[in-house]
Amino acid sequence: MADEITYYAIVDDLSSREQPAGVLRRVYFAAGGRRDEAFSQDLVWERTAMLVSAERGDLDNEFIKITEDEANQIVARIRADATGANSA
Amino acid sequence: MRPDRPDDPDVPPDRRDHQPAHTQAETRTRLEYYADLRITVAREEAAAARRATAQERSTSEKWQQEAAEFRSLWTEYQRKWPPEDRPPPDRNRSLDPADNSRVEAECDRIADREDQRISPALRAIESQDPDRHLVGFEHRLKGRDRIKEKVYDRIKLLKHPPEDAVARVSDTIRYTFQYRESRYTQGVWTDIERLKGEGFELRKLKNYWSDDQYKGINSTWVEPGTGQRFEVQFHTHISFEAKQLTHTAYERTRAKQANPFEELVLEAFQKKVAADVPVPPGAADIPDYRKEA
Repeated sequence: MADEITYYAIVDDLSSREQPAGVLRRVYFAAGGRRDEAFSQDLVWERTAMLVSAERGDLDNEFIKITEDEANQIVARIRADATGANSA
Repeated sequence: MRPDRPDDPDVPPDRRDHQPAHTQAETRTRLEYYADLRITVAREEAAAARRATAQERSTSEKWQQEAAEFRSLWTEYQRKWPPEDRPPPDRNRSLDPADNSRVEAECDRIADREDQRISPALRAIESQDPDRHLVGFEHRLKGRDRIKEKVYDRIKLLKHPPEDAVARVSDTIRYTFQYRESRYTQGVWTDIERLKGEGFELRKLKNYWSDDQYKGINSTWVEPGTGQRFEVQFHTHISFEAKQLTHTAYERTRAKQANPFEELVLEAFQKKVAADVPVPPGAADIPDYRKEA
């Protein structure tokens, strides 16, 4: 059985559902267990506790389930912002 | 002339002798009737209050037994993953010195706003109803290490400018109101109105009573003069105790040091505790709110 991944758009006060601030994935490993990671400004997936905090009452960010394609679009946008491709 | 009766119409009937024969005549005066009515209502209210208190006592005793079981489960967890085997959490991570100084300076300003404006208002609201109170008031200021963790995430994962990142943390100042189960829902509504009456602006409210890991209602407010955000949580005695019981499990997950299997165990523990928290009547119906920017 393959790992299962659920993607979330991260929406805060400065962003919107259409233009999320970031993207997070929750991976359920086939071997057991799970891990949360967000795509960082260093252009790598970094472990994060943001979603766990939200499930525990933290209201800083909203997490909206999205498809893998939508997640890839957010990742592409973050990459483009970081490399300056979006400012050209 | 016979005494005036409470069910007499305002306009006298044309013929009083039409009254049915089986109706007993009221012998009390209107004042006597109202005095008796007040006594009856007071007795009924006292009986209802006694029933609610007995119900709450029974619920609380059941919870104390369950809480003992949860503590035992947690001891089992700690036997499998001993705390002394863990490295200390990397709290400040890589917040650079300049950002660290900005955060420190902003935390000083936040502490001033809390002390001068927000806490006095919350204490004034608390004094308006002796039936519920603020709990954990001594923890109203979030620890600076934890604020820096959040700032780090905002800079690193959400590309916030450092100076903005602190201001947007919604719970640098936080308060918790704790209610009796039977008064919870009405109490929350009333205190929301009191907070608004103090001039605070509600930004977000999220109802977690139907969630599976955490029970209660959390809300974010803004003090309009300074733009300072703060959090108000609404709990019952049991939901607050459940939060305390699971706090170490949550901290362990947040430290990002647990392996994937341990993370699942921690989540399962929090769900088990939350599942036994009684939901106060009507609490799940309080709607979420989010003020659009």
